[in-house]
Amino acid sequence: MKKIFLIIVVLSLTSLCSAEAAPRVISLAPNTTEILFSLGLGDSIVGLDDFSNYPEGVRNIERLGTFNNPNMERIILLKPDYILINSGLEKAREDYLMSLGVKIIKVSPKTMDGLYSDIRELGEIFNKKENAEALIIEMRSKIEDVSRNIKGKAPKVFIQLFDDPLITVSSFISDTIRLAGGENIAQDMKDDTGIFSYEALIERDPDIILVAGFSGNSIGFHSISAVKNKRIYRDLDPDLILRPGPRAAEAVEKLNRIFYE
Amino acid sequence: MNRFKAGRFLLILSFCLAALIVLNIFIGAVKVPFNKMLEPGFIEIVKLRLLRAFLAIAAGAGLSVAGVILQTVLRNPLAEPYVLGVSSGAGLGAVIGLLFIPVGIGVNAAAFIGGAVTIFLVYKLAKIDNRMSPENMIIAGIIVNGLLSSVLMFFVSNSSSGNIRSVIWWLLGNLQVYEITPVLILAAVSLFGFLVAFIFSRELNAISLGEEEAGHLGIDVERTKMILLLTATFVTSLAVSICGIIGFTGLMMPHIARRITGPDHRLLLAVSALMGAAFLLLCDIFSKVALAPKEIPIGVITSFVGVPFFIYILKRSGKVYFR
Repeated sequence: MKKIFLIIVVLSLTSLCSAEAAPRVISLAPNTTEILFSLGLGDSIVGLDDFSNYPEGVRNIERLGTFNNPNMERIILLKPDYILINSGLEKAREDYLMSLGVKIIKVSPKTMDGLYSDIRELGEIFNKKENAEALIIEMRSKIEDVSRNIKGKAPKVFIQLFDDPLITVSSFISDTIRLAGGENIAQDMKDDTGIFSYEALIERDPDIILVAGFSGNSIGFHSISAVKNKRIYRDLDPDLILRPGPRAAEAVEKLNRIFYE
Repeated sequence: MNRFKAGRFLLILSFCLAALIVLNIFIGAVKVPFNKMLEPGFIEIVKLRLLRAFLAIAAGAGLSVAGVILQTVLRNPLAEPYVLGVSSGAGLGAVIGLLFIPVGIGVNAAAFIGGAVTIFLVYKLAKIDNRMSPENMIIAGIIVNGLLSSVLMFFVSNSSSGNIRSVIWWLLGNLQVYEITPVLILAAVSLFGFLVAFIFSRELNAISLGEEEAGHLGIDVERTKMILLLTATFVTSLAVSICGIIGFTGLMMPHIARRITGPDHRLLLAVSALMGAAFLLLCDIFSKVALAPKEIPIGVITSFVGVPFFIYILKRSGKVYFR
């Protein structure tokens, strides 16, 4: 009897210890959620933002609101060790959460190399170095395969997020397009997302228009090469194309097929 | 309203306020069991709710006092920090402060400058032939508001995408703060505004009868008006710089209070302040529970509740408040 009791105590203690060893993580951005899952950290996630919709495992995790306005009371109750964010949380909130002992990690890479180093850093923080290296190698090899498939002059590409007003995006997607063998005509835009001038669009004359967003209408100017040559692609999943996460290599493959089909 | 009645009414209002504070501490996105309120994990939530409730009180009282001052000094039943553009001016100032001097009281100071410049512009624009009609005041408010919102949109559309959303959220009104300093600042400023107005209540009473009459009573009308306008602007600007733009509170509360208390400003100020505090607490409960765990910005709720209520009051009374 005593023995059984001891075993139970030891077992419960070890389970307690291992539960403590696993960090409690809140991910407030779809790309950080995807990275955590591909590093094998899906079970550590205790809370998510409303937009994290991939992979399948996100379904049963508690939702906390949007990335910049999550519910603070729920966050406190979840007692996270780490909160992963993409774009900035309000500074007052960050300071407050840090005062509670929560570590805040920002993952907002502007290039594929930046993404690799972010993944590597997360691997180190969460003790998943091998998984991180494996993921990076897998992504690299996909992109290397793609690079052999690039030939001739790089097509000029325009990403259309919305048609009225004409909204486009630069930042990480510009690097994705570059690695796929194209060139984002809006990559000199100062901010990540913004209204793009129709005149500049006509002047820069994209060869390809990628409709990745919410807009139904496409650009009707027949002087634009992409319109003339019917190279407007609408069935793109914006989540796949735009997120700086583990699926970015797939995005490069997909865009490469479109550019050089 | 006689002394006894007034005292009883103030007492009842204070009880309502206390009850609302308790409600605000118990209601939120997370269920906090009564016997676990002081346990770690829950105590932080209770602290946040307390900060939030007291900020609501400070903001509601301050905005209502500012409303009383503006309505009387400008002799205009429609005067209010939001309608006159003082809130937008302070909001613009605060945004510029956030972008260029985001340290310490830089944002608050920039908000006050924005609010003061706005009230000065509105005042100058509305004054024609040394006289200012309520209609001119409102038109001037609309003009200056238009200018302010275009400058604001310029800054918002040119800041990087992450900041845009934060600024818009903040401008829609947000009572959640995470430390006690802003609560103390706004409480002190609102109390200051109340005391200044209370000290000048004799002058306010006289001005509400007419500026000429006030002058006959030996009051330096222009100087008094200047002090009181600056005070109202100061309170409004600080409230905006801490919790964004919360419209219509300063319009509704003085009106309702005046119907209850009559024109004596000593009582009017006290009742308006208490009612403003209670109103924001009530709106904040709604903000927290209506779409939980999402929150509705408090400014959206005050406008949503405020506008129809105000129309109803005006239609029903048809009373002229100022001759």
